[in-house]
Amino acid sequence: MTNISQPLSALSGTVDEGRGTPNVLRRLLQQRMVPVAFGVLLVVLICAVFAPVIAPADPVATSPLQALKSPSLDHPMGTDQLGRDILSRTIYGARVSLLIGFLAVSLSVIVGVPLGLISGYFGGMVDNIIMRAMDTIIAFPQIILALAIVAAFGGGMVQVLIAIGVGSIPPYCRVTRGQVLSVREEDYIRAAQSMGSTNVRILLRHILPNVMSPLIVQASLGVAFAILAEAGLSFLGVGVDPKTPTWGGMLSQALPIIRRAFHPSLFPGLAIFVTVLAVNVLGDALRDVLDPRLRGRS
Amino acid sequence: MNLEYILNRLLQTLLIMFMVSVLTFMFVSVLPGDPVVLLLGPESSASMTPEAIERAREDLGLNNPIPVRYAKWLGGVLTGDLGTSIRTRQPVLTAIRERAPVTLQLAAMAWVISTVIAIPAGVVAALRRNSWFDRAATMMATAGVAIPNFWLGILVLLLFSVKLGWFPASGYVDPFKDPIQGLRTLILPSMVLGLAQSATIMRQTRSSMLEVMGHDYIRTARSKGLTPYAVTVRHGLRNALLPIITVLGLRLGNLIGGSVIIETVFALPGMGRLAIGGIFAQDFPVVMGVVLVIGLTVPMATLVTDIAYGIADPRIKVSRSAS
Repeated sequence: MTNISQPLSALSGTVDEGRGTPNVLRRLLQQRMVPVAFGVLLVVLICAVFAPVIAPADPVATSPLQALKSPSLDHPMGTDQLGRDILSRTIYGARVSLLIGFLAVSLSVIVGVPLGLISGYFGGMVDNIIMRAMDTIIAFPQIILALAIVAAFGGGMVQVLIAIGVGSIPPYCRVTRGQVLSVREEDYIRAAQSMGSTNVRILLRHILPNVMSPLIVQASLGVAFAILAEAGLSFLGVGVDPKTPTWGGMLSQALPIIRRAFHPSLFPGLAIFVTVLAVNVLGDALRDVLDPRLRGRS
Repeated sequence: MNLEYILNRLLQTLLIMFMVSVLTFMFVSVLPGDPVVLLLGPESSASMTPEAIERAREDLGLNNPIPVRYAKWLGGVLTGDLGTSIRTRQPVLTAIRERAPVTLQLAAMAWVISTVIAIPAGVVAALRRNSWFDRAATMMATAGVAIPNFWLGILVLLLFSVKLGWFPASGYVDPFKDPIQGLRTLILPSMVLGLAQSATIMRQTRSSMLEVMGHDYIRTARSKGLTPYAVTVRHGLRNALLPIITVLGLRLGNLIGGSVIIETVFALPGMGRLAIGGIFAQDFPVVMGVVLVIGLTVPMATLVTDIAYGIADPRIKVSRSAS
């Protein structure tokens, strides 16, 4: 006997069976490099959360007598030109990177997904207005938009978050809209409409679940992009408060002294590279698991 | 080539450019803070009496309704008046004109480098799928997407300028005045910018080629006895190029955005450094001038890309532009 209480989307076949969280996780972990990427991200996460416990020294305490010391047992990553411990600063730097990475993507998703749902579902004038607004945001290279926002509002964590988050809304909106367009005419949507479901219910209960897979992939790659963008802004000196240790800020301070010492620019750069690489590997693997049609294509 | 398609895209581009101008204007006028302070600078406005500030507000037209102010501002923009730099008292357009060639030369060289590296690498990786070359190229592309270009810039600077002394570490010489010295100052920054972009283009080329080479007409071309070169280039690459053209065009925004950072690493006097300097000096008209000019350039580049795409693929009709 058919269970009439199950959601209509379950009858459509568009949501794969076996895409439950444990199943996806198992298939993810079977992929090469994914356990390594998970491991790297776990280390970065632990650094970010437990920085005050893990860091061997105060990341902002200067010590001119210890300036530009090469890596040693006392300072495994050496010290910078103000004698600050680079290992401690790198550990603390994970906080800003991860926080902005995840919050900026959350902002983009919270704004972009509903806009994409509305745009794709209602079409017509609403669709046109939303899409042209997205085109306008895309017209500004992200770093330029961020500079405009920082110039207007000043630097700081919230401003950087908004600058990166707003600039990243269009991909989420477009991905969502594309998925909505592909399922909008499906029988189960028509069935829901004929049964008197409200638009909000149809969007949230029947369409949103079908949009989730590409969105998760987009969001995972978005975190990597946001980490790079934050580092870029901090490198330019227009990111979060310069006193806060950030990987981009550390590179910015290391640039004028590269003739004297290389290690201050090595470790923060490596930290950004390895973190972003791990997020990207995870994003690519998620795409392979959630959308097998794309496997091996990129 | 469908004329209706071109007209449609042109209209859309004009609409986007209009919206870019509105958004930029909003930064100047609607955001928190007194526009007088933003436009005259905090130092100048701090030394002014309340009456002088009120007079300046009247002179700048800030007491007018926002639509009127926008119309006046747009009128100025259309006649080349982007305001005056607070710091140098130089017209913003003049400052941008002086700096734009540096950014454009850097972006153009990076574009060429990324294309020359990425397309052949992507084609070979697709043709020899799962070979050592494919694996190496894919791995490099994955790393290329993850590596921050300013860090790559520092590493390259350290190796080729500081250690080997092959290229100058900073500064700019106009390649049209002194081609050799000009290229020497631009080659490292454009390589760094180009390498980062080539990762994305290579991935797209590989993916496109894999898709195209699986089609029936490729099998037909092979069964007709065509040479591998003819099959790959004339039948495969030609069709695979269409999505690659789009990516190449859309990378322009990334190239200009990336050049802002690279200009800082290599101390190149381009538009990016002009904007950054403007932020530090609270020179709001300069920052917004750069933002506007770049915001208007990208849709135009997208338009050219779309038209090139339309010429390359006669199947493209107006409907494509609707999305």
